[in-house]
Amino acid sequence: MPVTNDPNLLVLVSLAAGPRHGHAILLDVEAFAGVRLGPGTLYGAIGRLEAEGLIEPIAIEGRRRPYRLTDLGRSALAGRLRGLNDAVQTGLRRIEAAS
Amino acid sequence: MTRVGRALARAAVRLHPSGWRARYGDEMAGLIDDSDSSLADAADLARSALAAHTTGGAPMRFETAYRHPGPFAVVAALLLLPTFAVVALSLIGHELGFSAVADAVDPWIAQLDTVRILDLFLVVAPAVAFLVAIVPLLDLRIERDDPGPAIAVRVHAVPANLAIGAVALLVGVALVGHIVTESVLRLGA
Repeated sequence: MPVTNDPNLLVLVSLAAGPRHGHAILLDVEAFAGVRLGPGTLYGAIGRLEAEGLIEPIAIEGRRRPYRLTDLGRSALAGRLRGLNDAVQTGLRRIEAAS
Repeated sequence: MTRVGRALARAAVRLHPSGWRARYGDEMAGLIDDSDSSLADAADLARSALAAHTTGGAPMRFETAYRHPGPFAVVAALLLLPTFAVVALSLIGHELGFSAVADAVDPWIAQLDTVRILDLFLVVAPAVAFLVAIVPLLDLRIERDDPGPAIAVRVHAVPANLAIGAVALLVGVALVGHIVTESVLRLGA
């Protein structure tokens, strides 16, 4: 079972390591989450995140345009991961208590 | 499969709204070239194109060649010409009573009837010419609407194409009428 299927979250986590272009994001997401994002799904997420100001493009390299987290994106990702972590910890405690 | 997947994926990129393509089209094309694109990627792009159209951007538009209808009109006319000539000369010779024309044309038509592929071409040509002349005038759009997407069809009125389409229709009807009449007469004989 993949860690998550939320492409927005996967892209944000990938970019937390530094700027990456589309193909590098795909490879990274596949490596850390075991999820292969389709190109349409990837650019759908990039479009939404860019529109929300969570990521931004940097200088284009040939046909590849790298993206990076904005300050807003970094704090949004941190908040989302803390929320997920709270849910994970709660779930684990409940499983341990029930067993 | 990769080559087919890549070609389909590139085609699916073109389904996205123009604003989307202007912003991300080159990057998506680069990504497709860099990766082993599959049919699943093409399907993923088609789905994202639909999503882009339904959540924002310009309506999805299936453009035919209406911006360049002239060449299609010429091709349609060339396709139609042999059948038009045969039908017109037959009508002049037999229906209008110009026996000299009928005497000159009938041996040629009898000769054409013996060559199956030419006979088939003469019968099919009006339908093909009609499509070649008229289809480029169609402009199909899928627009966002309430309660769901609406399909809008517009027909660009280009006189040359419409005229050739109308002539092709008349020639086709005349030809089919002639074939049906001949068949009925043969059955009655």
